[in-house]
Amino acid sequence: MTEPAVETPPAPGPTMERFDPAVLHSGEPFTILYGPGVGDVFVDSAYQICFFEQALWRLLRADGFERIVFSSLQHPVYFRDHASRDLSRGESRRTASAPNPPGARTMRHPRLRGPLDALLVRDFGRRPAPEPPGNQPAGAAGTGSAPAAPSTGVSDPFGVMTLVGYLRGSKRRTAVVFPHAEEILRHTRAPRQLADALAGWADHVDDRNQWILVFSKPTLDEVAEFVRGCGNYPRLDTFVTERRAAPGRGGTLRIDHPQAAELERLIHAVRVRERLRIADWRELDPIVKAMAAHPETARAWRTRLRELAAAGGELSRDTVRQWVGAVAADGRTPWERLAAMPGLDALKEHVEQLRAEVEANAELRAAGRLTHAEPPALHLVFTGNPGTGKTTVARLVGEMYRDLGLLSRGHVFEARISDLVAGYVGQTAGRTEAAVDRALDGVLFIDEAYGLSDQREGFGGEAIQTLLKRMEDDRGRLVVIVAGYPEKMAEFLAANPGLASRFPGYNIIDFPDYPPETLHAILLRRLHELGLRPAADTADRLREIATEMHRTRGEDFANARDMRTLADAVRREWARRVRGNVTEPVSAADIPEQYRAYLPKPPPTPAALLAELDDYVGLTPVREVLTGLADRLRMRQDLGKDTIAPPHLLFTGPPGTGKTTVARLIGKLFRDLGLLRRGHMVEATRTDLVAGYVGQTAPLVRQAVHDALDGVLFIDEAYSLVRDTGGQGGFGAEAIDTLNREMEEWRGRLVVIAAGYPRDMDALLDFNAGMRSRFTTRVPFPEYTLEDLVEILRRMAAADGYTLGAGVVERAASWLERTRRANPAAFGNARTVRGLLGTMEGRMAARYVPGVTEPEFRPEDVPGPPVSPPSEGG
Amino acid sequence: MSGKKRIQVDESEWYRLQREAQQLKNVQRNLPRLIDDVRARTRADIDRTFSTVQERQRQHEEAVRRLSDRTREMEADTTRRLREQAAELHRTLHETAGRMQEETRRRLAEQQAETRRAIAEERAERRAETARLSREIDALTEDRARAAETVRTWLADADTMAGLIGRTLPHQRYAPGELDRLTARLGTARHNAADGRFDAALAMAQDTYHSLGELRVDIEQRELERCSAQQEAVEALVRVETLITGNEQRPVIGPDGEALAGYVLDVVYWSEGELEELRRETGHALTRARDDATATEELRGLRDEEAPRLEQALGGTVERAGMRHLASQIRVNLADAVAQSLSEYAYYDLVDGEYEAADPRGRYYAKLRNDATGNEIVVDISQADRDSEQCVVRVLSYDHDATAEAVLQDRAEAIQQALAADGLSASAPVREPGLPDPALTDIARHREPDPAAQAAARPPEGRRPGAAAE
Repeated sequence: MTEPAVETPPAPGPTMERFDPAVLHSGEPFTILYGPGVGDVFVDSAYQICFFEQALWRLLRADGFERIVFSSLQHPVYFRDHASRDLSRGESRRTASAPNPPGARTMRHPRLRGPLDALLVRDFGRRPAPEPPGNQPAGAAGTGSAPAAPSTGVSDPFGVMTLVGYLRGSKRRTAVVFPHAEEILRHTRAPRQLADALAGWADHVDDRNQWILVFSKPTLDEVAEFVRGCGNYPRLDTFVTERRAAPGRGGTLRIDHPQAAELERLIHAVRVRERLRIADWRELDPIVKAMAAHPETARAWRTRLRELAAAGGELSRDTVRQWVGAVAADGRTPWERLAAMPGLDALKEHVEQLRAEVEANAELRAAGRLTHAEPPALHLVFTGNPGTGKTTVARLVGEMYRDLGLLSRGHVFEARISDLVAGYVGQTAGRTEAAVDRALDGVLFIDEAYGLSDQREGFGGEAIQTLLKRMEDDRGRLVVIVAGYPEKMAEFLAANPGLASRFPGYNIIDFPDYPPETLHAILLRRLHELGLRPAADTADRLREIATEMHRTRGEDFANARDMRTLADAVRREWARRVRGNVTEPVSAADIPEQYRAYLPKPPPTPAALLAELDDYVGLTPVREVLTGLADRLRMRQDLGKDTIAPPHLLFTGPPGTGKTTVARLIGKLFRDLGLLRRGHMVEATRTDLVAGYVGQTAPLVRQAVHDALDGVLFIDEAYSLVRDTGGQGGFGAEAIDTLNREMEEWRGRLVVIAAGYPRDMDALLDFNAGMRSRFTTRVPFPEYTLEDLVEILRRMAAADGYTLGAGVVERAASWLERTRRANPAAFGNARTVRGLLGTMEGRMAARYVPGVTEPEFRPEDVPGPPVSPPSEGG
Repeated sequence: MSGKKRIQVDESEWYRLQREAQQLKNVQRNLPRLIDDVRARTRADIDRTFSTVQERQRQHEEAVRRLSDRTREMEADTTRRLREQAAELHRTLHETAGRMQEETRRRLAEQQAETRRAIAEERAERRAETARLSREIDALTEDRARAAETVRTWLADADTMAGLIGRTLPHQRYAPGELDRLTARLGTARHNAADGRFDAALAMAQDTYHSLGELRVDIEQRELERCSAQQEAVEALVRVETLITGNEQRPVIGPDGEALAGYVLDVVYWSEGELEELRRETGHALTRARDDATATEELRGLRDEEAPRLEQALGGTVERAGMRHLASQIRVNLADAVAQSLSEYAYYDLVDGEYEAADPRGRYYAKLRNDATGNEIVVDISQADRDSEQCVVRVLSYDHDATAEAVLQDRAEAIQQALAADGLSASAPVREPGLPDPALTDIARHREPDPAAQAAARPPEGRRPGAAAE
């Protein structure tokens, strides 16, 4: 295992961007290397491709380390160069290592002589000395033909002892490297000695020698977690934990993915060695940039390039696009692509401003006049509904920032809230750090970022704190773009003063919802991508659906995403219909049922429309209002005009005149008219809308409105909302204000029906001017006539399976007449009729004989005229 | 805090394989001239021995010629047979010198038994004939003068024979007192004759003569037997002595099974005196074998028991020396492996290494230092025991900073794991009490001249034993 190393790597000189030698001068006892680039291959400035261990060796040698010792589980002490080994193993060792001719039975140490000199009289196993990893690719060690060394681990304690000896030796500047620290820490047979050695070295005052531990974990947090999980190395645990808490303290280096310069060298190295052809040299720069924006190891890039070269292919924009997806799809620069996007003026202005500043700074610097430049505010807030292209634009911003030299890589790491926030104490900071690490030199894009501040409980605040700290610590290397609904983002920014200062107002970019035409184009493009060809009239239907979806969109409207969902749904229906016959175009029949609701319907004829009402007695004013509405709509449709927003209605009338029943019917009728998409009814009273504490009323109202969207919100006894106000303030006033705002907000998607006594309703409209302007249609529910009431009684009895015998109608009419007159305010109309029917049924029951008694009311079943006003029945 | 940790490495399986591969126990290996050497060194012994035999037989022939007509023929026959037997033995020993086989040995024994049987038959015949003649004496009793003459002749022949035996043959060794007894009987016979009891005197003189003749044959044959045994014992021991000399250096078999060029195993050095002790023991036995006074039984013991024992001991000694030699290298190899693993896993680099007191037969110390901290580790590698197949690796930590026990344990475990990865069976580290000796960090100290220790430790040539011969 300590046999001569395979080769002496060439003299140091070339450099590698990803290895910053400054980390070796931190004065810290340990250097922790970690990150996605650990185990990668590296292309140095001399276009040499070397493996991780080689690269590290070169760094150390270039930094003046005379002796570089490596340690792995298999080889607890090994060297990569003769000089280091010769400095470490005694002279005897060197003379002893004269190679024996194969098959010679001689001892391995020439210094030892017996009576038969160096002869081996005993046929010892002649086990071959295990080979050090040498120049095998790091990470692939042991997969070659190297003989398996006895991995019993007996060497481990000696290895630790020896490494510590080297470190403590002061004559030669020494670096001890654990290229696979996790494996050693986890599996060493000498954890006790190693723990002691780590602790001892941590206390040792020596800033010359270095103990370097290389972890393959992508983040320092995971390194800390791992070391803690080992449980055996408290001192190392402390070291890593402290560095994690204070990233600037030194002693750690994150090895990242390769950046553009290194990737360009890689391309040239593969080009020269493996005859990779470049399709168009002018494309090389965008290709390199596209590759650099993609977090990938140089090893993976090399494999792709080699395969491409082996297959005789050419490196072009197209090949790279296959590798990294939607990057540089066309030859346009990000500037051109942004310019082609509609809207986003604020962003366009922002990047133009940045460009100007960068140019000015460059000139100032060239003129030597720039001594201190405050970097411009780069962090952005994107507000808008989902599916409005925020992620795409974030990528553009990354590319543009990179082109401006503001970011070295410009890639976008898209973090979800769950990527940033953990469910348990103490883990959130780590997650956020990890996300930031992945986004370093690029853009951290956090969609629906308000999720961080929204949390009543949870650790979103911790994530924000961590994020803010990293935005400060990694200025120049990190750009954060947060996105979400406008109001929510306003709340988010307001939640933390640090956020507001880092995302200045002029960096808030609004992404409006796509207009219907764009949505339609997106929909058709998606269908096209799916291989579908809609017939011309189907395309028109789809436009109507898109337009209607846009018109009735809510705050969860996902724009392009919803169009894709629609296209996918159409494809499913189409496939089921045509099966193998794919030349069949998409027809209207392929539009799923739930989307057909968005298609405008011919308004029904008033007769058909009002058929439902025919079952009910009276309701003449209602019929008039609805007939008028239906006529109006049909006319508009004939004229090719857009549909109208359904009106909010005021139902005035005494109790029991069918207001609730009609309100429920109105939903269905409006749906049939195409004014509402669902037509359901949500019934609310004061108790549902007004809370007992400040600030709770508005959410109640909003909730009720949201529940009723695309249907009817029916507020019975609406005046009671303002009962407590005495004309001003109070929670009822808050409810009315909120209702007003919501009605404006959801215009066209909601019908609010307020019901009550005519007098009370006037008072309500007087209370708030907004109410009067919104409730423009008043539908009176007059008291029923005596004939109506009797008819109601007859229908009710018939519905229950009873008939009215001779004389019953007259007697009942007389009873109703007198009851109403006795106390008009308390008369419940249909409800009172229902109470009367109950009484009559009771009386019939008293004389009931099974099998004999007919289900027919007799006049005597009707009670006599009331002495006192009867209580309301039903 | 510093500490001591002990890791044991079991190498028994490796040792077993090495013993097979090195074939160190096979002491006759790579000694093609062994038989020639042994023959060259034992033929002189044979010739010396048989020149004595020949001289004695010449004296016997001379003495036989002085015998009366009556006995001369018989003794000449016996003497001829004995000479033929000795000549055959001499020839066989000479020819088979250095490669005496059991078959040869059996054939010789059969021949000897045949000769013995033939002589005994012949002499029994003679004795029967003499008895028949004695009965003639009865007839002669009247002729007193003739009787006296006959007795005198028998007595004179008996005296000649007794004199020959007494002069030339080691009768006291094989038949102690027998000659005296027979000589006393001759005195009695002579006394009877003086008393005129010729019949009694003649019978006793004849009987005694035959007994003396048989005594001569018996002694002569036993002596040949001893010569044979002596030659075989000498040959066996000379063979051992030759093996010892021949195994003073052995090739070192390398891991590929071939001898390592440029390296020999210096058994004298690595046996740490065992080989010399063996040589001394063998020399002592050879002295005993060459001593003509050594009894046949002892000679047979030297041949049949002592010589094989010594040869076997030689095998063991050579093997031990060889394994020590390799173990010494293993210790450095282990130090190398430990240094390597500490270098790879603990970033300690080797500074120095040396055997204790620069003696490769002892423990090995390697020092490592972590240049980043200046902390040091001394690795001390030894055998668990003498000639043990277990190596002990001690990790001695010298740290500037306070070091937790857990770290020290990790360090030791790293070494253990590295050794295990090298295919070694290494035990779990065990903490040892006490603090490591600071003096052990001074490795160079081992190379400083320490006359007393160095003289004992260094091989005579003054270079590293077993090292390449320039």
